[in-house]
This record gives sequence, structure tokens and C-alpha cells, in this order.
Amino acid sequence: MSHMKGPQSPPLTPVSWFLPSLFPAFNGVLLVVFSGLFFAFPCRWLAQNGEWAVPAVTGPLFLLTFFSLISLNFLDPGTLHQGSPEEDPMIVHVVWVNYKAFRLRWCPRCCFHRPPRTHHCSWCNICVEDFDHHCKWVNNCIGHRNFRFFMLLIVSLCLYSGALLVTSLLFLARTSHLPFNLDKAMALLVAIPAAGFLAPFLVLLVSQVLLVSTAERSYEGQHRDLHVYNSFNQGCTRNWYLTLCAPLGPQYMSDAVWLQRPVGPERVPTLAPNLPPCPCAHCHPPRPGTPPQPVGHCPGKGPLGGGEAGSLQEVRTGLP
Amino acid sequence: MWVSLYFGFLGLCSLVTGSCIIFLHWKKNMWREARAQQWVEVMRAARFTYSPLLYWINKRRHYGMSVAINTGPLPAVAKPETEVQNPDSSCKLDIPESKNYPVQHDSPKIEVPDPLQPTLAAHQQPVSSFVLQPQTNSPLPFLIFKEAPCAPTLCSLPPILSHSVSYPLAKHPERNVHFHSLPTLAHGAKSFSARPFAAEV
Repeated sequence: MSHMKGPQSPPLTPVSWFLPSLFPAFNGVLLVVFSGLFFAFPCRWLAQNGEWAVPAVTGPLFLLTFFSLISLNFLDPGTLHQGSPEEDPMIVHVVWVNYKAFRLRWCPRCCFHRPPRTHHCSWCNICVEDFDHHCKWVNNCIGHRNFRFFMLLIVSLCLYSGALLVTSLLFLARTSHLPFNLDKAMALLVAIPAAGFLAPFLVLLVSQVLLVSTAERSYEGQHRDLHVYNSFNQGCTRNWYLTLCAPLGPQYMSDAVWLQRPVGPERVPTLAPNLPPCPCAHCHPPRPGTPPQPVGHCPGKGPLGGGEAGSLQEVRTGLP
Repeated sequence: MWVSLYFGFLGLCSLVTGSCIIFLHWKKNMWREARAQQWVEVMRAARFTYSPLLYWINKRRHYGMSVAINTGPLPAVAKPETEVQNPDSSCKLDIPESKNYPVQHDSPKIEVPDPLQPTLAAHQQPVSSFVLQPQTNSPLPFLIFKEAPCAPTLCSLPPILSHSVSYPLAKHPERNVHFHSLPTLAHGAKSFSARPFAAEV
């Protein structure tokens, strides 16, 4: 699965949505077609001959692969937008991460200083937090919020391709004494592309495992000096925990902020069911260990749109 | 017979799958545009401060990283790879021309004391309010950026023509637009007006 490394070669005009979406549609069709051929011919023959483990294994793998492929097409990679204050591009922001300083770059498209590892994808035209790469196979950026689904897709593709290859070869071995028929033709039609896809998938999986273990990103690979101290590296175990298991927290554009919009009198403001908890002391304190929460709407504390979020918290810039 | 029926069914499934994916990509594109538009409206009408930088810093702190921020005016932007000097200490920044300008530094970092600082803060405050002010009683060296009397680089200019999904109405305030680029002037030579030019000068 090749992917575009970094936001180089930016198109000058916003890319039309149609042409980039053709390739992921083709990939989804490819997965459905090969799976349909596999389950209808070699897998059916093996199941009819007592090999029930074959559909029991490949069926869930297909569902997992299809689910992760479709999810990765549409999951938010971690979009960051400009905040409420207008930022001055002349101001220099330096962020220190574990004793290493990053001078933040100004994003001329989104009009804010990008945090470290945040990049503007010229294909999606968004700034992505913890940008890894833009994946043309799913026409979506891989970033902070969907990287674990990307890993899930790679792992499931490796397992599924391997299962298709092994099962097709098993079928061909079992039916070697039989004359060439449609089942054998379909098994070959499935086995050849499965073998062709398996090797690149394995290479991609190994490279991603190495990158996650060292807390690096794909787009940094061609620029990074191996001797440079990586301040995001917190050890292999911790890196894997942060990549796969750590809570992502609320989205930057969470529903709590949406509710601050003025609403008309005919609309009844309702709270979103997944509203992040309000961190003010009058409601309930934030649970320790939870990720940072943008302010939530406190029910019964005033009309929405009145800017009451500002009164919920003190000005605690925290900086001397 | 059933084989041809099955192939027809498989083709139909493929067609439906491909169409659904294309349709959902169109919806995703529309949804992003609409949500970014709404976000801009919310941010313009907001009386609170919502900073992506603080959002990012808070999240990294919960991940166990030691994160701090320092802000100052633009140093010698015409040569960003030059060193940024700190006049009162040996603090020195070497800012290379690379991604995010990673800077190696041995001095202790500047800690922001509140580990649970909210991303959303009350009252409208400019980002420059987060500037770390040097403290005379602090042993930590602070970075002080000098203003340089030179023109900024083209890459640091705000956008004028294009827009973004992240900020579709991104028209930077005129007070921050200090000059026109030469291609822009050449393109707009026919409609060149001396009055705005004189006002900028």
C-alpha cells in the first residue's frame, strides 16, 4: 500500500473530490469481488468437504478488513482549525517537548501556527494533528485520530491476504487429482492477487511497526536524521500504548463548542449524548487521567449562545 | 445457471459498493466544508478563547510529555536558519530549515505550571497573551526574540487568494498584510490604484 509521503507537491487549487474518491471505490470493489469469488468457489468446496474452519476463519477476517477499510475512508484524522483569536503570522511560537524546541510553522491556508507534527494536507485541504501521511488508497489522511484504524487495516489485510492464499493453495492441493474446472480457475484467480498483495502489505506492516516503536511518523522518514533526538519517543512500550490504547479525547471541534452557537427561538437546544463533561466545579470535576476537555455546556446555567462558556472557567492561561 | 446468476449478483454488489463509497466521499467532503463554515461562525461569535495550540499541549501533557510554550515576535525571518540570540544568557536556538524546525537545546525548559489548563478560556484574549514574560527571580533562561527590521519571507505571508477547508473564510486582517508580492502587483497592474498603495507605504 503505497502512500504519499508528506504534503509535498501541493496542488495549487483544491482537488476535486470525485477523482480521488474513485481509487478507494475501486479498492472496495476489488475486496468485494475477490472475496465473493473466494467464498463462492474454493471456500464453498472446502466447507462441503468438512473444512469448516476455513469459512470460520476467513469470514470474520473479511468482515474485519471490510469494516476497517470503510472506516478509514471516513474517519476524522484529527483536524485542527484556527482558534477564536486571530493569530499573527509574525509571532514566533516555540513549543518545548521533552527538552526539545520546535518552532511552529505558520499555515497560510488555515491561518494558525501548526503544533509540532501537524501538517496541512493539500489533498484534503486540512491541517491534521500528528500527520502520518495521506493515504490515496482510502483518500483520507492518516493522523492522530485514525492511526489505530490504519494499523488495524494493515494487520487485517495481511491476515486476510495470507488466509486467502493459504486456503486457495490448500484447495488446489486437495483437488489436484480432479480435472481443471471453474472452482480451480477461481482459486487461481484469488491466489495470484493475494500473493501479489501480501508482500507489500507485510513490508508496510513491518515498517509501521518500526516507526511506532520509535514514535516516528512516515512523512518524517525521509527527513529524519537517525542521530537526532526524538523528543516524542517515550520508550517502545509507552509508544505502543499511546498509539493504540491511549484515549483520544474529544475532537477539537467537539459538540460542546457547537452548542455555543446562537440558536433561533424555534429551535430547542438539546445536548449531544456524547457531550464531554463540563470541567467547571459546579457540575462534576473532570476525572483524573481523562484527556483535556473543551468546556461543556452546563445545563440550566443560561441560554445557549450567550457565550456562557467563557464564564465557566477562569482565565487560567497558566503562563507567568 | 446459478453461476451466471451469482456473477450477476456479484457485479451488482460491486456496483453498489463502489457507488456507496463515492457517495460517502462526496458526503464527507460536503460535511467537512459545512462544519468548517460553522466552526468559523462559532469562533467569530465566541467570547471565549479556543486555541489549537493549547488543545495540543494539554493533550500531550496527559500523554506524559513535558510540554511548554514560548512566544515572541518574529526574529530575523528573512533568514530563519540563523540563530536566535538571547541577550541575557547563553541560550541559543539553532533553527534549521526542516519540518517544524526542531531545535536542540540543553537548557531547562520553561514549564507551564497548570497541568490541566483548559483549552477553552474565558474572555477574548489574543494569543500573544500567552507570551512567557521573563521573571527576574526565575533562574530559568528565557528566550527573547528581537524584532528585525527586514521584510518577512513570502512563505510567512497570510493567504490572500486561496482558502482552506479548515478555515474557508480565511482572509487575514489587512493590518497584517504588509506588502503585495510582485506577481500580485504584476497581475493587478491594470487595476493599480495609487491611493491604497500610498496608504500602505
